[in-house]
Amino acid sequence: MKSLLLGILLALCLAGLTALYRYADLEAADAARFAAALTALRLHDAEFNRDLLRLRHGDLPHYDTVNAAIRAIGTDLTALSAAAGELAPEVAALGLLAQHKRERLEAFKSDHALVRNSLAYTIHLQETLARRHPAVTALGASLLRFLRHPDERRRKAVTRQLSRLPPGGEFDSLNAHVQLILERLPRLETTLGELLNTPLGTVARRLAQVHLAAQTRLQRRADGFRLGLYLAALAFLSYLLLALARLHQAHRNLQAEMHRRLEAERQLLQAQKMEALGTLASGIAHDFNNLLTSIQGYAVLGREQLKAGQSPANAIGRIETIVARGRELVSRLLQFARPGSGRSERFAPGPVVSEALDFVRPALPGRVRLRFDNRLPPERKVTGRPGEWQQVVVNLVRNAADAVGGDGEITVSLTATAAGVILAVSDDGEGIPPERLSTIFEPFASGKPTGSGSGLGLAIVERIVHAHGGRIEVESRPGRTVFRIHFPWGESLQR
Amino acid sequence: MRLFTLLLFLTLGSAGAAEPILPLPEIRPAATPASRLGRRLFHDPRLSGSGRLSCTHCHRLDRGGDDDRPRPPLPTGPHPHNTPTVFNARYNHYLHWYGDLDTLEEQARVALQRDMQVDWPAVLARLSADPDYAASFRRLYGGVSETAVIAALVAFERTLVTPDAPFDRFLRGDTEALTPRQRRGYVLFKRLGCSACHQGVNVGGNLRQKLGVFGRYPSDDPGRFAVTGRPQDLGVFRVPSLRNVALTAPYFHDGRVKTLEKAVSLMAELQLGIRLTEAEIQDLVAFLHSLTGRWKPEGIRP
Ligand code: HEC
Ligand code: HEC
Repeated sequence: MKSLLLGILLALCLAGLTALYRYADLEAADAARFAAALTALRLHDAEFNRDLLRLRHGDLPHYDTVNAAIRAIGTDLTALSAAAGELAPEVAALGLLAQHKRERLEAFKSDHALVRNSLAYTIHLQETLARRHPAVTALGASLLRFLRHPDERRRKAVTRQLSRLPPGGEFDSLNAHVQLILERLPRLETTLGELLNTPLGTVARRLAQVHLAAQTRLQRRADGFRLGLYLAALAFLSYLLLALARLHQAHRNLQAEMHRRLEAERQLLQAQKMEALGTLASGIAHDFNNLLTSIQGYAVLGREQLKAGQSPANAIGRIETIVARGRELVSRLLQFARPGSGRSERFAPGPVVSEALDFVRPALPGRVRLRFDNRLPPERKVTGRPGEWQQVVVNLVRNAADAVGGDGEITVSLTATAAGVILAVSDDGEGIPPERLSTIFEPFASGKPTGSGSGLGLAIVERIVHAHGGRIEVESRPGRTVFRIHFPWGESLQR
Repeated sequence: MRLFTLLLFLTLGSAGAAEPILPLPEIRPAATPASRLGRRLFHDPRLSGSGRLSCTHCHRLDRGGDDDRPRPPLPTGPHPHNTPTVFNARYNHYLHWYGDLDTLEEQARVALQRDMQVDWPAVLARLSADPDYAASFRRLYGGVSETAVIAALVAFERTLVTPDAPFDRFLRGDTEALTPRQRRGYVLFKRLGCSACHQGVNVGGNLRQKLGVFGRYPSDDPGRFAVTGRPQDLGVFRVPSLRNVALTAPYFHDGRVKTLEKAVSLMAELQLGIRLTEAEIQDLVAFLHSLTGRWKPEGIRP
């Protein structure tokens, strides 16, 4: 419940932050594009006005550059409206001004070309015709006045002079050109004035200021976003660190717990071993007793030989042999009792199992027969811990001995399969009742009367087998119970 | 009198200093996959409603980019106007005789609609059915569409430029590129004031002007008035580019002027109010011949 709530909260936070981030980014990109387009437009407008004046003053002899500038202004406007956002109405107003300029430019160009030509012709004709008629000079003077102040009064003055020109040929031509100037020059001046006064540049500058202000506001908001993002990141980070610390602590606790368990298990294993050893003790005591009896026998024999003046060397030799056997017995016993080294090695299972049987045999009740059927080729080896193997054998055989109840047959066999070795221990006892079959490997599930063992035998067997990567099968019916242990050939073992 | 001249120059400026005509960029636009596709379309009669008319029928690339007819026929009768060249159209500030179209894209749409009587759904189906076309369109534009057809046509038109005219070489400093007569013609062209209207990189194409400033051209074409309806636009036409003009007879918006000589003398009379001598006409015509550049179809290099 708590984690669900946390999840929802996180998702909401994330969605909000993402939206903020993308929105802020979009706005910033648009603002940059807008500013760039506005600057470009102002530059192009300045270029346009400059070239108009250059045209008017005659040092620009073509219209390509004003055309290019007005086209560029159109492109800038397209870019502006694409990024205008809430400034769209202002951009639309700019568009109207640009449109006006575009139209007036056409009028300007048409008049300009004509006036320009007619002025040139007037100069030329003025020069050639002045000598031929006095009215031409007077016309020139009045036209000059008109050129400087193209108003109605001066226009009329020129018209008066025109009417004094003689008709015909070049005089007509002069007349026509002057007429054209009279008609078009004032219009040209008006158009030029309109063009230069169309406040495209001024409005653009003001828009730039408005935009800058808006951008400053935007910047402040972006700063807010940034702070928000930073704080959120900070919160997330602290949360993460906290979680990490908790995780670390949990990990340490777990490790300690695992260690405790392993230690306990190891102790348990050892205890059980000692218990098994205890059970063996009687058998071993029996063996030892036999040895001691033999030693005593040979000692008596030796003394009598000495008395008879014979050499007791033979008897002493026998005693030495028997003592050696005793020592061997003790050393093996010690080896069994020593806590497992935990190291696995490669060994041939036959001798290890047979040795274990040697331990248990003396401890078995007199009428129990123990057979060992080793079908492994002697050179086949397994990887494992021989001490634990022996523990398995001892436990299973003891178990079987209990099952046969003092009289019966126990068979231990080793067989090779492709996957490993099968160690089977079977007996002809009364069998395990089916309802108990599933629990026999649980600790203290023993079918024996209390006090006869630790109740851990089969549990230990199972543990060891699993640690060797093996598995156990049990098959039981009255008269025949088999424990089949599959040990893998095992290159590596986990503990 | 000197003073008068001086003052006039101050008011109007000198016609001197810079040249009114600019050379075309020396470097030809490279052919692109889009322009190659456009080139095929430009030659393809399947674009037309009748299936028999391609752009090249009126804009013959081996004949100066136009046809020899005064006015091309349309199913509805003769076209109202003479065919202008497609060469260097990209350098015109506006298009058509009325100067009423601003971009090649708009123009191509009109050309397909009016001159070719396009049936768009049928054309798009035809192009999609042609595996070659379909593949190119898919690669370049993601599929066959009206805008894609137009974009490809325009991409091709943008490669239709004719740099390297003798006059361009002259402008770049090679005085030997023009014959003496052509040089005289150019001086006249400027002095008479032709260059007030025919100027810029395309020697025209960048302003509109009344046809018949000092006289009347016999024509019932209302000119730009047909577009705007404003009286001052009566008889106003776009000043055409004079590049390759020697190859584009007949002349004028109605194609009624058969020779360049006649066109030049008419111009002087109508636009400048003067009568040219035969020698002046010949000089001017010689100069106009120096405006003929060269178009190199893809793959052919000098
Ligand atoms: C029927 C003949 C005809 C056909 C076919 C035709 N045109 Fe044209 N084209 C004209 C005429 C006539 C004009 C001038 C129209 C006007 O000014 O009213 C023109 C004008 C143009 C112009 C403008 C040139 C300028 O400088 O103003 C271009 C570009 C052009 N055509 C391209 C094309 C393309 C591309 C096609 C094929 C899709 C095409 N034309 C097909 C007759 C034709
Ligand atoms: C006042 C502007 C103006 C002046 C000056 C002018 N022209 Fe023209 N010119 C035009 C216009 C407008 C047209 C288009 C005529 C039409 O619409 O039929 C034109 C057309 C032409 C054409 C025909 C082009 C074609 O493809 O049909 C030629 C050639 C020409 N002019 C040469 C000259 C020469 C040479 C001069 C100088 C003697 C000159 N022009 C002066 C405006 C002018």
